[in-house]
This record gives sequence, structure tokens and C-alpha cells, in this order.
Amino acid sequence: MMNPDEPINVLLLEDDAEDRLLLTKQLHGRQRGFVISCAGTLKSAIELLGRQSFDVVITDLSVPDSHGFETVSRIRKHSGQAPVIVLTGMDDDLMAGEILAIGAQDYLVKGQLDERAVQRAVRHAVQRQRLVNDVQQLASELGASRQALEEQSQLLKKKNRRLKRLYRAGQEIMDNVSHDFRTPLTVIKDYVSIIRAGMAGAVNEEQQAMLDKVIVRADDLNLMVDDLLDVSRLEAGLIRAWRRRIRLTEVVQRAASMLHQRADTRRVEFLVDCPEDLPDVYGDADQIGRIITNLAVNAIKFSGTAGRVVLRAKYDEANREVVVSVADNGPGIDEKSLEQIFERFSQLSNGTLATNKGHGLGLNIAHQFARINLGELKVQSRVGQGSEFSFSTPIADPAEALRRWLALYGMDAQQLRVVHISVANDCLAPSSNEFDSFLYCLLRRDDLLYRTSRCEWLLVMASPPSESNRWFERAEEEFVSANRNRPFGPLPDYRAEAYCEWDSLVQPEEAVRQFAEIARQSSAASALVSSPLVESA
Amino acid sequence: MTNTAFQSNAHTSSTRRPRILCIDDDPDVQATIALRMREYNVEIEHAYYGTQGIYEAVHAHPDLIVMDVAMPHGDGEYLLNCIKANSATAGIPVLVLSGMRDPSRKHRLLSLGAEEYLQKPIRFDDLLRQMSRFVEIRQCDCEEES
Repeated sequence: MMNPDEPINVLLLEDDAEDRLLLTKQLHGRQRGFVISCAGTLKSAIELLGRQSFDVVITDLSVPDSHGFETVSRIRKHSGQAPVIVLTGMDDDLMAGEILAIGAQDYLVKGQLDERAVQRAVRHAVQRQRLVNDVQQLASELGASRQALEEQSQLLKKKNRRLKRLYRAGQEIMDNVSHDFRTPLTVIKDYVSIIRAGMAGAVNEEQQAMLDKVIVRADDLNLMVDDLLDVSRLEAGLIRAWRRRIRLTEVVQRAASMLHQRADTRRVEFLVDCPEDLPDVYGDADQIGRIITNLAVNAIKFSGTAGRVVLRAKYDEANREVVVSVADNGPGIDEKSLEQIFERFSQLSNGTLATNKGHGLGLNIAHQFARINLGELKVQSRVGQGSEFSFSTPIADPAEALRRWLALYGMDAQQLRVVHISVANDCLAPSSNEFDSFLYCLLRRDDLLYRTSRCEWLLVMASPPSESNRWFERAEEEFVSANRNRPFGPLPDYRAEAYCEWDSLVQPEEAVRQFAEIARQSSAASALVSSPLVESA
Repeated sequence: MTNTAFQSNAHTSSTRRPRILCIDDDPDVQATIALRMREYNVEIEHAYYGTQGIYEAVHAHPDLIVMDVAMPHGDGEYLLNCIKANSATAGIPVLVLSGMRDPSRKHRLLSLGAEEYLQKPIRFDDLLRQMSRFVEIRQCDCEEES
């Protein structure tokens, strides 16, 4: 802003001495607010402009060494940020327009001005120019910071890409090392099992018992490798749950086979109580299998000889979940240790890894897997009577899945977006299953993907709009690249459209209600052509 | 998991023993499977690397393939791609048996047409059950065989 006390430096280019005198007089007037330098030729005016800075230049159109508009444009070239006011003998609109067009800020008509008008015109010209200068300054600063931001963002992107590469490389090493561990373990276990089975000559009972122990210990090592791998993935934030509609009975049976053998060797009674008519659940079959294995391995370990471990799955209709529990009659865990165990869990959720001594990493992994499978790990224990660890998984119902997912990820999100994805209704199961796998590969850790029918999916994203918009581009890019190299021909064409959005003000119950309705519509639409969907564990 | 869907794939008849091609670069893994299968009425063919697996699949045309993933000269994905892209072998059911745990790899292999992704170490009973989904496996009268 202009300081009213500071004098305004004026350069006056006027060859007519009389006009010069008049204008000087008018500017000086009663107050001494102007310092005026005069020049009679363009050349001397330019020299003055080179020597000192002026707040404003007032120029006649015709001076001895320049005529007409050219005078103005030449002055403009040297006046820098100072505004130019033109003195003219004529007053018509056409002329005024042209004067302004070549860069003058205003014009004064000779002989028509009184002192106040001249002073005001000059002051205003200076003021306007200063405002313009300020704005230009701000604009250029803004431009510079935008550029700086852009550079920063490029740098961050580059670093991010590098980190991702490193993470991937680290994970690959982890995968390969664990594979290399497992290979000899597999062979050890296989040979021992063959000897144990008497296929390489008679084995007496004592030897059998010893070989059983070797098998269990080999399994222990293998489970440890699994644990380490899971933990490294959990820590890196690389674990995604491939939640699908699954039959829990199959998952339990799969895990139980190794557990029976282990319990037999330890002389622990191991009972499985898993009703055939359990409702399907919504979760990642591998991860749920790992929870069961980890809990049961611990239970078998702690129940001791002549112990008893019961693995039970039960439908809890009120909470719309299936609860899997593993109970032992071991020594139990006292309250203080229980607290410690769960304290460690909360540390793990904060990204710090901790092992519960004696329980290995298994419980922590079980806790994390239960959580990302939209359930919860609980423990009840009485010293001297035994412990019961249990975890819940939601039944395969979209509304229930969303309710739990919202509680886990969605509540702090600024915006939730539901995308409806479909392939043609007549798309056959193998092909739509492949597309399902493709969608899984696209899934980010915190997305919720629910397959409502053979050919339809709902994807819920809790991320800023800019990022969820990127999903569509990424899907298309990945789709093209997946199709580039497929022996059975391309994946089925798909449609993906943003179906609805909820802002942070939406009540979870309302979102759940709407989601249930969307899911109902989408599965009803395809119920005519596809059978109910259960995916193999 | 239902068996019904795959019964048409089981070429086995009482006159011919089912042939199982085992592709794994670890000779001990091959040996233990062969040892175990001695008690059953099946023929086991071996291939020790990817391209050999492809060759054997085409020439021996087994009833079932059990294959590893991490192998020299053509890894599991390449192998499966080739088997499924060739109309002569595309119909052969493939069980993947691997020590790899990477879920994305599992999905890729399943989406390439593997019937099942099994993890090493596997209990023999479980492997046998999986194989029985695709070929008829009967315990043989060992005395008569040897």
C-alpha cells in the first residue's frame, strides 16, 4: 500500500516549457507531495529512468525525438513498474482506447484539468500500479511455490516408487528364504514319515514314537517359517485379506489334519466339533486357517500330556457371526499375563512387533488376521482349569461385512465410495472367477470387495476422491496388461461405475442399510442366471 | 469341493493304470512321492525342470500333473501357461505343490488353470485325497506287483 506521507517521484516528459510549468504548478499546489523531474526529450527521459526509479511517468505524445504512440511504447520499455500517464491535446474515445492499449494507464487532456483533478489522477495511477505490482508479485510467488510443490511431489513420487520397489524386493527375499527353508523341511518330514510308516523296514514302537516327535518338530519349524513370513508381511503392511464367501467346515477340516497328528504324538485328545450346517462366512480361507492352526498348536502345546483340546465352531445368530474356539485344559493364564498378551496386541496394531514369550508369534498373527477378517480374537482363562481362545468371523452377508469394515477402517474417511463392478451375465464361472482373482490383485489393503453374485461385485473405498478416481484408471491399465499375455484369451469385459458416495456425516447404520439394498438388487438381478455362490476354500 | 465336476477328466479304466507326471527339481521330493505311491496302482513319471515337464506332458500325456513352482528352465507359471495353451495337454488336471506362500502367486496359478494350489509340506493323506479327485487310485496288491 502507498504511504501518503512519502512523496511521489514524478518524471515529466514535456518539451513545451509552458505546459511543463503548468503541470508542475498543478502538481505542487498547496501540498508538497510530489517530487518532479523534468525531461525535454525522450532520450533524456530514458537516461533519467535508467538512473533512478520513478513512481509515475507523465509524457507528452510528441517530443522533439519521438512522435505519437511510439513515444508511449518506448517509454514503457524503460519505465519498469512505474505507470505511464499520457498528456494529450485531444479528448476522444478512439484515441483514449489506443493509448490504453499500448500500455499507458491513464491520460490527461491538456487545458482541461484543475489542480485537484491532476493530483488525483496521478495519485490514483500510482496506487493502481502498486496494486497491480502487488498482485503480480503474489502471482509470481504463487507460481514459484507451485513449481516447488510440483518438484516436491515428483520427488516424493520417486521416493515412494523406490520404497515400494525396496519393499517388494525385501518381500521377495523373505518369500524365497522361507521357500528355501521349507524345501529341506519337506523332504525331512517326508522321509521320516515313510520310515515311520514302516515302508523302509520294520520300525518298533519306541522308534515310531521318536519319529513322530521328529515329524512334529519339523512341523514346528515349518510353522515358525510361516509365522515369520506372516509377520514380515503384516509389518510391511502388505497383507490383504481375500475375503470371500467360504465354507468354514472345509477350512477347519484342512487345518485339522495336521493338528490331529500333532495331538496324537503329544498324547493330547483333540476333538473337532464343527457342524455341517454352519452358515457360510465371509473371510480369507488361508488366513482363517492360519488362525485356527496357531490357536490349536498353542493349545496342544500347553495342555500337556493327557490333555484335551476342543476345536469348536458355533453360529452366533444374534451377532451374525460364526465363533471358532479352541479350548484346552492346560494350566491356564493368570490375569496379569492375559493383560500383557493383549497389551502386546495393541502394540502390534501400532506397528511394533512383539512376541509373547511362550506363545510365539502365533497369537499376534491370529489377532491381526482375525481383525482384518472383520472379527475379533478373545480369550478366557482360569488358572488351573485351562484357556479358551476364540475368534469370530462375520457370516457371508454384505450388510454385516460393511458394518464391521466401517468400524475397522471407514469411520475417519472423508468419503466412502461404492463402485459397482460387473461382467456380462452369461459369463461362465471359470471366467468370472478369473476376473474375481484379477479384482483381488487390484485390491488395496483397506478396500472392501464383496462379490454379490457370480458376475457382480461391490467395491467400497475409504479414500479421498482423487485417489478413488485413480482406481478406475488403474483398473483399466491393469486390465489391458493382464490381457496381454493370457493363454485362454482375454478376461471378460467389465463395467465399473461409481454407484454412490457417503460423506463423513453419514450414519453407519444408514450406509449399511443402503449397502444392503444395493447388494440385494445386484444379487437379485443375476439370481436368474447364476446359482448361489460359494467359493472353494 | 465336489468330486463330480472332475469325474469326466478321470481317464482311468480298470485296464490301464493312471499315469501321474511329477515335475519337481528336487529329486528327494520326487523320490518320496514315488516311494509312497509304490503301494498304489499308479505309474509315476518324473520331470526335473520346466521344459522337461512340458515335453513329458506332451509325449507321455499323463492323467494328472503334480508340479512345483520354483524350478530351473521354466518355472511353474511358464509351465502351466504352456500346458494350458496346448490343446493336446490343456485337459490334463494340474495340482500345484509348492513351498511358496505368496498369495498373489497362488491366485495367478489358479487363474492360469491349476486345479489346486497345495502347500509343502503336505501330509501324504492330503496329497492322496487331492490326487484321487482326478484319477482313480487304488491300493495295489504289493506282493503281486513286486
